[in-house]
Amino acid sequence: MTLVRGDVAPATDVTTPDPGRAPGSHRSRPGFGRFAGYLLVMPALGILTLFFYVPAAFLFVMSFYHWNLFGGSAFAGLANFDVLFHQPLYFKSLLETAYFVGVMVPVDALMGLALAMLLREGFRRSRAGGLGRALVFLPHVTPVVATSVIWAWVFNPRYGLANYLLHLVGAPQPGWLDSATWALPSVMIYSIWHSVGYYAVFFLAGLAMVPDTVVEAARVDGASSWQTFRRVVAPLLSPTTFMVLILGTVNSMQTFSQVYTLTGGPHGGAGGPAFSTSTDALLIYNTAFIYQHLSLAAAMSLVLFVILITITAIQKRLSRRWVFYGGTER
Amino acid sequence: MASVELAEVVRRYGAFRAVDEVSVEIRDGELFTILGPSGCGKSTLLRIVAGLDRADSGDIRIGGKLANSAEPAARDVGMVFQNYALYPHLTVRENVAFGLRVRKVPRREADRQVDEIAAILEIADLLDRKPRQLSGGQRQRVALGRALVRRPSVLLMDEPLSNLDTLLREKMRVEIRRLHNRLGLTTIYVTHDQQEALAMSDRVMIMNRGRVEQVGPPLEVLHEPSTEFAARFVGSPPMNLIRMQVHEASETQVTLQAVDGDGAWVQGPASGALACGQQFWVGVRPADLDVSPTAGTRSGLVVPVVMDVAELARDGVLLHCSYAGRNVVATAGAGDPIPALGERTLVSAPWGSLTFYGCDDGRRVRATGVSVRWPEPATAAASTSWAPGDPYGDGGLGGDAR
Repeated sequence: MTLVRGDVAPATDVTTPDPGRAPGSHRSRPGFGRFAGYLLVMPALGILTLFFYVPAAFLFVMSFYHWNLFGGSAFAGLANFDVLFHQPLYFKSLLETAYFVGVMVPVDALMGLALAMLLREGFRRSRAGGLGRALVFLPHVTPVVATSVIWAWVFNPRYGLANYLLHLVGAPQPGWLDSATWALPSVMIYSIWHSVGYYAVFFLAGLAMVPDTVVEAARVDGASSWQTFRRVVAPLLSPTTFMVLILGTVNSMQTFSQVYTLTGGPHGGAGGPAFSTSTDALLIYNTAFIYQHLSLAAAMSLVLFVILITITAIQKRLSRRWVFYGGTER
Repeated sequence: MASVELAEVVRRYGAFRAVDEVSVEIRDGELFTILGPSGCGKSTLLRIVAGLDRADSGDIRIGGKLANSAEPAARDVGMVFQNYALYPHLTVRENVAFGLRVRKVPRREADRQVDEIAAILEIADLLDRKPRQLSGGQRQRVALGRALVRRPSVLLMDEPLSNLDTLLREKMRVEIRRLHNRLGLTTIYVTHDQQEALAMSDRVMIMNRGRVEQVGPPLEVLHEPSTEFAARFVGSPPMNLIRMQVHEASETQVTLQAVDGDGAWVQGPASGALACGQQFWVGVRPADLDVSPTAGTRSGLVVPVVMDVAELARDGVLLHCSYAGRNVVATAGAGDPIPALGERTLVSAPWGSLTFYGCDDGRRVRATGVSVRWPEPATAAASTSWAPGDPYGDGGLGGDAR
């Protein structure tokens, strides 16, 4: 990126006229210019409508009905929500989801950032940088169902790798997936292994946008490493951090596959010992496809959606206080 | 304030020596410029002084204290970067105060010091703005303010004006010099712009390929380049250099001919033993060259050339001539006749105006430099009593030029 002088409008300036919409282009191909945009978004919009908007609307309607797959559905008003909010298991699942998200988001963000900084500093002048990034990113591209089977073995209390290592150092060996206390943390450990590289890549891109000379200026100014990070790097990295927090919240709140594979059992079990891993997503699945309460599951999905929207809106609102969108001129 | 001493500083990148045994002392309170083409190691050297880069060997002393492995913060230096490197998320006030705040200077005291430096740099009305709201020149001042507010003992500037347009650059040049006069801060200033270096420095160091070519006051560097590289680099236009070898050498006279043998020759008084075939770079300033188809001389330099391009310059006309495929530049004063394009003519210069550089080491050859005693410029000037207007070829040399 070259230096952008102060008198030049930022690249994201929305008021910049689009050269493609110059008056001449209208005259040369009458009508086309006005509809070209719609035509171009049509395929994507079509697919989204078919596979997202329609099902979403369908789900919305469903949550207000007693739905029966084999006919005889009837309008139920808020009955589904009434049932839902009188279910202790539902509140337990919301709490477990909150526990899961509350641990996953900060740990993913902090470890992702740490990993990115290690990769950046470690491979600063090395050609192995690409390899390092690939290795860190690799777990994320493995299929959850396949790798969680391996981790199920790692977490096996009797012959798993985790307890074997703990046995070697003489530490107490928890029951992992068989323990009501440790089942959800086991899923968290696997999930972090699987997702941290994904967030590290975001932070790597963010760190690349922090000019070296600004960091050097801080060093000459007398800032310690921590001060440099706290006062210079972190603010310039804040848009990335914000995005990671939003994505992390959305992703971890909807986590299903590994919960299902690690603790669900072969026949779609209850979700860990004593429902200890029945997170919201798992409960929705069980309600819909094991207990066959489609409309109740639809109501739960709707509530989850509202929670997600609300949290994201709050995060967005709070971001005004700490996210710096100034861009970094080089 | 402090002096900065560098002793045999070396910085390697693999087999490449970015800084190659640089030894120099920058005196207390002087504005010292490091001048050289891009890639000559000048910025690396500055970064080594700042502590942002490390020397592989050699010593760096700041204020007499060994600073080889000291962190930048411990060196008491301020630095202005080429791209200013302002903190984009902080206001101008916070930018300038940054170095004070990380050193736990109380806010009120920091504010007072920022106001003081802002008044000096005339940026007091910009203190609440963010860097992106500033023009290039304003950013430059803020960067200066940030470097100066801590009152460092040494100020380092890495091509600070290269991102500004010409007019602003010339203005800032004067301001930096004025500021230096006022604060008397030891300043190391890196630039590739010789005008900048000559205009503002107390002393200039010319670097090339990591090595020091010459250190001296601007006038000395401009008029007496001590190496072949310095001769090629300094001056606008710089010296013409023609490679020549000794053709005949007697007790009293020496004759050199161009190595590529295209009729250029030099004749002059000399005594002592010069081996035939010994090679030199003969340097002559464009202003010392006389262009005339008939001008001959018994002593000095004569080069047969073909007129190429005449270029209007600030003080006269630059005549670009070609000789053996190379460019020879001469300055024509106002009213001098200008040869037509493609016209064959001669450029000549008196013996006393010539400078000789050894072909092996590029060093200027002086009386004690080689086994022969070259005349000092003053006496040489006296001996050049050749008659102007002598017909060409009179001397019996260079007759094969045509």
